[in-house]
Amino acid sequence: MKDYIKNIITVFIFIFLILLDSINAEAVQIHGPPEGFFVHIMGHIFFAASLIFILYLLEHHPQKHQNGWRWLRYSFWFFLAWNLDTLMVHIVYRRMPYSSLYLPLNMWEHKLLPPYNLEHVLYYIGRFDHLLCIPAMLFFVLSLRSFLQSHSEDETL
Amino acid sequence: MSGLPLYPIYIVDFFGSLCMLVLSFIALRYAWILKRTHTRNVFYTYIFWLCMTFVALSISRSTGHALRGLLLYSGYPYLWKKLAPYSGGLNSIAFISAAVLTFYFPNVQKVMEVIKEDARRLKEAKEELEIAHEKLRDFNLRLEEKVKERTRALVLSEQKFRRLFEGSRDAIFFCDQDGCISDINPSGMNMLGFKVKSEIIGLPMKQFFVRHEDWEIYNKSIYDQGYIVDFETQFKRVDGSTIYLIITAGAIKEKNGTIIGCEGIAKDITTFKRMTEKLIYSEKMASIGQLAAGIAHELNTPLGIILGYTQLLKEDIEEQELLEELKIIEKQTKNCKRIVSDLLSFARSSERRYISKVQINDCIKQTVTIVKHTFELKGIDIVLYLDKDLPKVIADENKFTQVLMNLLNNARDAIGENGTVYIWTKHEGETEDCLVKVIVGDTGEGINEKIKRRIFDPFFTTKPAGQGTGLGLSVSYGIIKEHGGTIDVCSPPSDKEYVSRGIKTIFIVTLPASTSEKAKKRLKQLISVC
Ligand SMILES: Nc1ncnc2c1ncn2[C@@H]1O[C@H](COP(=O)(O)OP(=O)(O)OP(=O)(O)O)[C@@H](O)[C@H]1O
Ligand SMILES: [Mg+2]
Repeated sequence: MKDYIKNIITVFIFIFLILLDSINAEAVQIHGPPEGFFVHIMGHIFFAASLIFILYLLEHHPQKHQNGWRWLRYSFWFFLAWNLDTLMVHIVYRRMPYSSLYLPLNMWEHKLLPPYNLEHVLYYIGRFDHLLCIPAMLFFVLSLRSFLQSHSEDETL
Repeated sequence: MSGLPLYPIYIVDFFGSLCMLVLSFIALRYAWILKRTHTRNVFYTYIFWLCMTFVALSISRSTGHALRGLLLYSGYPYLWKKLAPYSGGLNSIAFISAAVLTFYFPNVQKVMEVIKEDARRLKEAKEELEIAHEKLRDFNLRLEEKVKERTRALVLSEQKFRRLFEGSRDAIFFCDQDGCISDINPSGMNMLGFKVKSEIIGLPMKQFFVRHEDWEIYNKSIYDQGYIVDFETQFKRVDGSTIYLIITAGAIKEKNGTIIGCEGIAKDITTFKRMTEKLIYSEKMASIGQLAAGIAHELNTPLGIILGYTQLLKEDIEEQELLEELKIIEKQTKNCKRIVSDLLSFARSSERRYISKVQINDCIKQTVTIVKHTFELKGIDIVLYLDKDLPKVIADENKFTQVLMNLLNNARDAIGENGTVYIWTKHEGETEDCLVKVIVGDTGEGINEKIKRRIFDPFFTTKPAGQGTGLGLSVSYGIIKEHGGTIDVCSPPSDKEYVSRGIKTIFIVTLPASTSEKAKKRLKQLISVC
């Protein structure tokens, strides 16, 4: 019970800190528009690097063929792919001229305008990133469920 | 306007982000359960926090996509503009947090592993320690049991040997490295005349040996051979008397062979020794007696003839000179006859013809009356201590007088001039086995230790030729033996009664008071204490 309360408090603090951080950022230091973008890009790179790192560890895990670990590996692979995909979309989007996108008030009329080049194609396909991140999350859930079922004590890397 | 519509993307985003939200919360729930059930598992902790970032990520995305769609579609673009930076910020932070967690987790894991390893080792060590402790306890218990058992056995053995040691009739002794007595049993103390153990402990064993050579032989044998068996020797008792011992002893050695003392058993064989000596002596006397009897018998006849013819010649011859010579022959022949008859009486050749119940006291008085005069001439007194209740003995009075005369003459010769001869009569024991004792003591020169054992031998004399024949005591011996009695000599006597009077030699004649077989048998077995 105690743990439970502790966890809830921790979650709230976590969220609060995130909010506070963004308020403070405005108050203490001025961060212009490109900074948010760079932070976001670096976050992606950082996350990708950490995924590569953990995938490297998982590949060397002695029980990597067990269900839980396999799902986890798939999950991280998908996360990595999704991450790279979104990274690419961010970059491509930035490079694309505004004129490539037609964005009237009505969402249903939003369009990607020709002439098309590779970047446009990549952008369009890349925007379906949920097709990567949902399987990633699904595998993640599967993996956890498998761990729960296996009851094994030593699911360690 | 031609172009690729973006709404398929929006639709996928909308449902996808909702899906993500649901999935991330499911994942969070799983992770939370896992974390709670495996509190020590670092990996689950990591997964839990990763789920938190995923939740944050899905929230930001759902706001980013779903909410945006809803807001824009429902005509609140302004609200979206306000919410958008929060969504984007949360998104970035979620990424970074996930990355940080991911990088950080293996390190924690490693640290945990090290801690776990330490804990495992500690546990192992503890278990080993416990096993060792258990073993030790077990061992201790068993040791205690064993010690108890051994102690019990030891006590039993000790008791056994203690009984043997204390109760043995023979002396059991232990000596230390310096040859000093370190322990001795009561019999041993008794044998050597000690009353208290502390008096004898620490005394050198050497001092008890009468002859120094014996000690050397004993010591050499112990050191060279490691033992000595049936070693016959003489020991000095604390009161100065000597005893005969037979010793069997062995060296006490340490493991490396160095001798640290000796232990042994000594048997007092004094009585045995005296008995054997006596036995040997009586055997000797018997054989000499037989020899003497044979010779005497053979000599008797020719001597009778010589005497007869000499007496015949004496009657025929008138010449004075020849007559004198014949008288000398007659006298010497008579001497010879006397010696021969003495020899015969020693050898029990004559029968007991005149046996009667004799009152020894009267016999002594008569004899003393006869010799008194000659004794007084030499300044020798005769003092009598006669037992008034002395029982009679069965004896040949003449022969007993002869024994008495012999003893008195010897006393006189031993004194020379001026001295005293004492005569005691005593009786011992009840009527059935009553013994009569006649003790003749003199204040003369005493008998030399070297010749003491030979004085009863026929023809043994220390007197000049012509004065003594050396038959007196041997004849007496023969007579007393014939009467079933014993004759013993003590020179010097040990009894105070004699020593205080200056007596140097006593002869003790013991005769049975009655002729009953029982008394005689007892008499034969009797051994003088002197
Ligand atoms: N009372 C005594 N005191 C000292 N010596 C004695 C005594 N009686 C006997 N002897 C010793 O014992 C020896 C043997 O004595 P024993 O009577 O047999 O012979 P003897 O006296 O020498 O001769 P015999 O008695 O035949 O005339 C003596 O020569 C003497 O040395
Ligand atoms: Mg004599």
